[in-house]
Amino acid sequence: MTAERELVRAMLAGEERAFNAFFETYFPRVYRFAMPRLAGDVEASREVVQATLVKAIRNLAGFRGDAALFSWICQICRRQIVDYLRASHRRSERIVLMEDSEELRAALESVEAPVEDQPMHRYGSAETRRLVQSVLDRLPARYGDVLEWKYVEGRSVEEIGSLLGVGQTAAQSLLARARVAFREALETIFGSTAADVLADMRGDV
Amino acid sequence: MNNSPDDQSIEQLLQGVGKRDLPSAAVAEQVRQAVHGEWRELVEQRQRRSRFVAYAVAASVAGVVLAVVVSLQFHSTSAVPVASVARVEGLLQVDPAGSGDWRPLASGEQIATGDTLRTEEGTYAALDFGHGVSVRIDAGSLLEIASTDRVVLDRGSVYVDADPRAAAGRTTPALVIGTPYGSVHHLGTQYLVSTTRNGIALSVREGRVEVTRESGTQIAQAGEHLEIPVAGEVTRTAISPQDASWQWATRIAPAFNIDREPLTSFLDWVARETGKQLSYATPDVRAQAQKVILRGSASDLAPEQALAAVLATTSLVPTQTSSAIEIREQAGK
Repeated sequence: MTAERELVRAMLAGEERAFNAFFETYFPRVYRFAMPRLAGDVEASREVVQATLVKAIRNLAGFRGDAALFSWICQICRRQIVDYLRASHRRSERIVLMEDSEELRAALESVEAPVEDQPMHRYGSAETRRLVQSVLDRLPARYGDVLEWKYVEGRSVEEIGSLLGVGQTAAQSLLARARVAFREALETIFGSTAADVLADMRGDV
Repeated sequence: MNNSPDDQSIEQLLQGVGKRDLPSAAVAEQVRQAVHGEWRELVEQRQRRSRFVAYAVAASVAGVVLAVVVSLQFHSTSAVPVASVARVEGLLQVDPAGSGDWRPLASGEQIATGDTLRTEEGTYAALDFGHGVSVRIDAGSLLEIASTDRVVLDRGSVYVDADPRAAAGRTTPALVIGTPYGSVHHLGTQYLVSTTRNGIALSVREGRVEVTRESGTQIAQAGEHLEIPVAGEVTRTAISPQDASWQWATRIAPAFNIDREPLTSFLDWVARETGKQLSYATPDVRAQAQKVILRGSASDLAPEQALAAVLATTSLVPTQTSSAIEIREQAGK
């Protein structure tokens, strides 16, 4: 049983700890998923994300683990966004992001897949930032959080271990796996290394 | 710290990208409460079903076959018909299994568990759940038929009319309206529940309603309007049974089948739908109305139009104020 299916099982069994883990893991990610698609409207994002998570909870027993839990929730969120825009007469404002293209969506949903002959994409600085953040949200387990804590917030391995409730060795190991997963995801999405993506973002190339 | 060039570039890239946005604590708390409430409801529903199965297993040998059949029905994932469309004004749509495959629904069609319904702007609909229970759907609403006795309102408003006389002697549970912010239970009543930007609004026209939330239970009486936010104080104001906010629900009321019914039953229906007090000028007038047996149909008319049309065929006339209907004999008769 995967960690996600185990999380779902525990939630269905009524374990409060599992609900907390679910909410803390997926709420901010789904919020970041919805926000740019709703033109940054905070109230609309709250409403859509709430409806998405309520719907996900209601259909939790139907989650089979065929897709990642986050991808499954994002599917629900897409439908909620369409419904919201329809109900609020904002059909014309529907925003389609770069990562909504079929090619990128498939790549984002399989960030662990090895890179084959992916074409090299060039994106603007803001798009690159958002795509990298989407990659962090799509990484399995809490790899995205771990990388952010370490490299953006500058936390020590000990602090990360403490945040996750694990020892220093386990945190170090998790960080190493997170780096590998992130590197591979960048290659899948951008067809290039972190250094190239950074240079691209800064306009060095 | 790992110092390989590639790791350094990961560090530099992530620093360049910056920290991912986080929703505000207030937004997070609001969403958390709503989602947590839905989760608790789901868990309790599953536990109730488990208990039911356990009881079934413990039943006597003679009851085993029956219990298994019933418990299988309980667990069946197939849709169970629960209501029918009594009236539609505009375009009512159904998504039968959450597939996103919406299709229009017409009067007379069945509604089943698992169905999601939506009304566009300008669309109003009435569903008949049997046993005198009518659910009217306001424009711009989205709701799901979660089970035979639970409708979940995701967005918009629904008006519930559960006639206590029709429900008398009924053993099945009363219909519950669930929302992301709490569940609304009733016993023989008329009320309107709406989702708002930060909670729910509830107006009770008749009877008594109980709202169950994580933070506690609220009772609302006839004539009360409650604004129930996710966090903060519940506010109560008075609302008249003839308030303009009931009008859409009255207009979409399922037709009263007048054929072979006494005039008094029809007048009771009009009074209930319009929220007005019904009276007769004299006991003789009432006796006269009781003797009139109606024939025909007024199915395309809203209650007040139907009142005028039906009484025009009798020797009785109505005198209406904003809160009452008095029936008297036509002058000169």
